Amino acid sequence: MEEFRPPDELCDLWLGSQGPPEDAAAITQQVLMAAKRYGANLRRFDDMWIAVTIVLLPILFVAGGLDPAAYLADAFMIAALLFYLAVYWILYRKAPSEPDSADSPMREHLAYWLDYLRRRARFHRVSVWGSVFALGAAGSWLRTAGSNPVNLWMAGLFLLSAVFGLLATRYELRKMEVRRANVQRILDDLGSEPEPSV
Amino acid sequence: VDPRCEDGSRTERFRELIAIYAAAVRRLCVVYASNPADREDLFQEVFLAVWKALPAFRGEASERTWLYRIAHNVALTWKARDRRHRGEPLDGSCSPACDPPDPRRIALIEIIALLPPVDRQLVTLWLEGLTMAEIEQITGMRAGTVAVRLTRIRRQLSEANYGRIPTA
Repeated sequence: MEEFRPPDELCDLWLGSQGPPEDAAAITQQVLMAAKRYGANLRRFDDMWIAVTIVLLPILFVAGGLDPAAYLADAFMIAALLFYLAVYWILYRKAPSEPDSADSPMREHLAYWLDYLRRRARFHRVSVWGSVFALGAAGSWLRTAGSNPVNLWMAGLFLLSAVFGLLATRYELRKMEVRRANVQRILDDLGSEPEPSV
Repeated sequence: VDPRCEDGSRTERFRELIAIYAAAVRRLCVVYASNPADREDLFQEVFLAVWKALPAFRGEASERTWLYRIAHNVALTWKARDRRHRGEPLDGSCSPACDPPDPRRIALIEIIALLPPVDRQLVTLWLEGLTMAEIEQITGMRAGTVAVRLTRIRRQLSEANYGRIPTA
């Protein structure tokens, strides 16, 4: 086992000069603040969705009151919003967020991450199709419902939102695919048996 | 630390862990992140994971093995994220308070940083002085595999003259 130890020269180089001792109290403070921020950010995101729903629904009903033709479009828009919220809660928020598996064996931790990324991608795929369909339908209906300028303006807004939703999801999915491939590569490397050196 | 919010003994234990392992975690961060801001980000993420995992630590593995496992797991997934890592040249300093870095140390870190992630983990654990059994526990790899990989890495380090690069 003696030969397993790294040469002293290399060890010294690696360990380098020891700076002054770390301020453990300050680091503890920073980490605990980060832990609180992490939870707070999740709660803030949830609150944002609730606020959007509360604010948007009455606005849509008021806007619909201006022109009865807009009611159907409003219904589509509300369906899109509620569908997204349902998917968010069922597929995303109810499932664990980033895996707290850092103390698991490396292979398990990476497998958790792959599963987490798969769930995230599923959430994006499912949520975007329902929402984009409803937004697109709302926009198309308003476009054909008449020449009311408010309707035409809203039609453009809905259709643009649908396109934006598709592009944003495509971007997110591509990002997630890169991450998934990176984690999978490490997992494969971990499981590979190298050829013994000659 | 707000004592109303945090369990005092957990905080105290956490503070001890930082005092013991902060330098080792900083060295680990150096081979995963090339600039001080990313390093600090990774350093905090490692200890955030330690904080979260601390209540579940039952002492089945040694504290050192447990903490290195967390640090390496976090570093691996941190690196795998598709975030924009600020690509600056390595400066080799492990902490903001360190002395000016040794050019030979920078060269060594550059070589290690170019290795594939699993090899990078093995070599840093080896350089930290962990035993074969501890490395097995952390990585979940068999001793034979670890030995073969480390032999290959050592040859790479030797070929790069890690110990004979002249000082400035």
